[in-house]
Amino acid sequence: MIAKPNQIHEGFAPIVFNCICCDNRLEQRDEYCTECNTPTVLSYTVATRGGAQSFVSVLGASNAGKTVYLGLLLDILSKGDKSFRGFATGAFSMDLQEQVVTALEGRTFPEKTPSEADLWKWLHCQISVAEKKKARNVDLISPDLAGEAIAMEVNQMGTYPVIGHVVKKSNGIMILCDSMRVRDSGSGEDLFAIKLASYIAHMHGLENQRSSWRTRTAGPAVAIVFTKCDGCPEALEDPRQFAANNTSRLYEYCGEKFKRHEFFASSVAGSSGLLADSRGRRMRIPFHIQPCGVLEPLRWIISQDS
Amino acid sequence: MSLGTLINSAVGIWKCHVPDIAHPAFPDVTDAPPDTRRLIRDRRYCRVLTNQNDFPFDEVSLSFAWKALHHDMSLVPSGEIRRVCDVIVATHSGFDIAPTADQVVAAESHYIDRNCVTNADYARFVQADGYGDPKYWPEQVLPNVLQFVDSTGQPGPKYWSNGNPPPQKLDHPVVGICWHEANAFANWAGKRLLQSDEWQRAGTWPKGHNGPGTELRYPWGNGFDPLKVNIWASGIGDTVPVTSYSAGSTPNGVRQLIGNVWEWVDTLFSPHSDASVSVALTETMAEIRGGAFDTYFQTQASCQFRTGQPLLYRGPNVGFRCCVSVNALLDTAPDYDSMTSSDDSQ
Repeated sequence: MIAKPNQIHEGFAPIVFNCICCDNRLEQRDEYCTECNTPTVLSYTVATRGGAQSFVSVLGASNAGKTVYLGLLLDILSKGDKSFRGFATGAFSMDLQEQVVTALEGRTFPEKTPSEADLWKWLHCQISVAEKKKARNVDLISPDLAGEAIAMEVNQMGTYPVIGHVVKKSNGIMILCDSMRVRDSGSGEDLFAIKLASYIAHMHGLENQRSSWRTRTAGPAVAIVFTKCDGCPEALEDPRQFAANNTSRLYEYCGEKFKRHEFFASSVAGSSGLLADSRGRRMRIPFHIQPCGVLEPLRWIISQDS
Repeated sequence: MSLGTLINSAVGIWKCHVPDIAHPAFPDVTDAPPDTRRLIRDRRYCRVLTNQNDFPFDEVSLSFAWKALHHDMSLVPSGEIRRVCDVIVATHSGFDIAPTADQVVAAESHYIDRNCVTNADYARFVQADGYGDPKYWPEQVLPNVLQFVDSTGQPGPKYWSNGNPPPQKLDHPVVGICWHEANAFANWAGKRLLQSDEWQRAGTWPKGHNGPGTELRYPWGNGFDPLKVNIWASGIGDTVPVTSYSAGSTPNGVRQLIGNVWEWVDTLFSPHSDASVSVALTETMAEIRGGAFDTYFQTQASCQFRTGQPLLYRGPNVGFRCCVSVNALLDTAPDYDSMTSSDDSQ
């Protein structure tokens, strides 16, 4: 017979701790935080491990590549060299890695992340970073947020409280932008990224800062990552210049609001094609996998904390 | 060329391969006639052996050219390969890639370069004004040739500068060249790119079929070994010299079919799909084979895996090697046993 989480400690006083995301009081028998839907097991794991945690969140429009990025990031970290290596801390984190790696190896992209917050996969990974004198451990915690949910939350704050809590807690935030949409589809991607950036600025109280650049709050480290660069080599060649040329609003806004921001380009597929069928469905598939620029944004974010 | 000569050649190559671990020097051609000497030193000996010049070469020239060919190339005997045929199908929830029965396809016998074309090899083509000579480029590609420039705007591979390769990478495979540039070089050298099936035959023929209906996955066997290839798992993250990872060679000395760089082949890439699915490619693609230093999954760096890149792709992870059909060579193969012993005595 398999015990349920709330049966394991039956007869003992319930263990009480705070939600890692929103600081809500939790009991181990809860499966999810009632406030923000963060899995209790994640908060419990973090509470029992102690030490400093570093939230990194990944935002982006629907279909920007967040799930693939996070899943592959975790897989690459697990294969990394000693100077920068990370391992998922529990089976719940490996779900995402497994889902993404299985799909990519079979030359498909994983299914879209559902909009329901309790169905999101969370990534928790302990990264060891070799520094000059000793190794430093950083806990990377990030949910795989659904693009539609991010859009709703940004338009109407409080729709998905977990997103607000995660963003507020994050020392590092990645904004993923589909480089091909940026290059080929007008201003939509630029404007949505601006919305995300202003949401981040709002959550970190950077919106109305009037102090001088030197004395103002640093805020989170913001990495703008242009994804799917196998189809957009222009972004790969010089991400900052690509941003200045193609997402000028975002470029200016980040320069204005975030003391620490940088532009990156990444890709997962070596080449890809677009499938369509008679029912009008369309889907991109990767022909082979050659990750590029996946680790760099995280390395940069972690270096900002050192 | 007779069957006897072919078998003799194959056996001769196996004999040649034994001292090959030490990478024997290129044959001395000092005594060859001057025109032949120049062609052979430029590694264009196939121009002698396929008689692509206007005048015939003499026996001495042919003998030196054969020596050079056997130094640089290995014979792959004709035979069958199993072509993996995955088909993209529409399913209830989206699309899926479904395996279907392998096709058994015949590949002709050919000589294949033991190594990918190196920066040093390619530099000879650039110095010989290969980019400026229209006879090496199809007419419809000529407008593009002006765009095939290096980082300083000189004709040449994308990552070179001032028309020169990086000095520390002379023995690395040339990269940053598109499919047309690979073809132009092959044409200049008197060779050609391999057909996709010929490439697979080169990697799988030595041990034959592994069992009923299967082929070896890698030139050395079925088990992946990161010590035998340069892919993502090897942790290098860049190209290596074409002579490294010799443990991953085929038994007849063809190096790095798997890993280091993908190899352009002379076959267009068109994913198979059932009638209800259309596959849109942004540009015409050619197949690339073998995986590269940045190939993430070992299953995608095998003798059977096929993928593609646009014909004009000039990436840091795609190179090429050349081949020549056995039946394109003049039927003048010298006595192989005496040639092998004379090589050994040098």
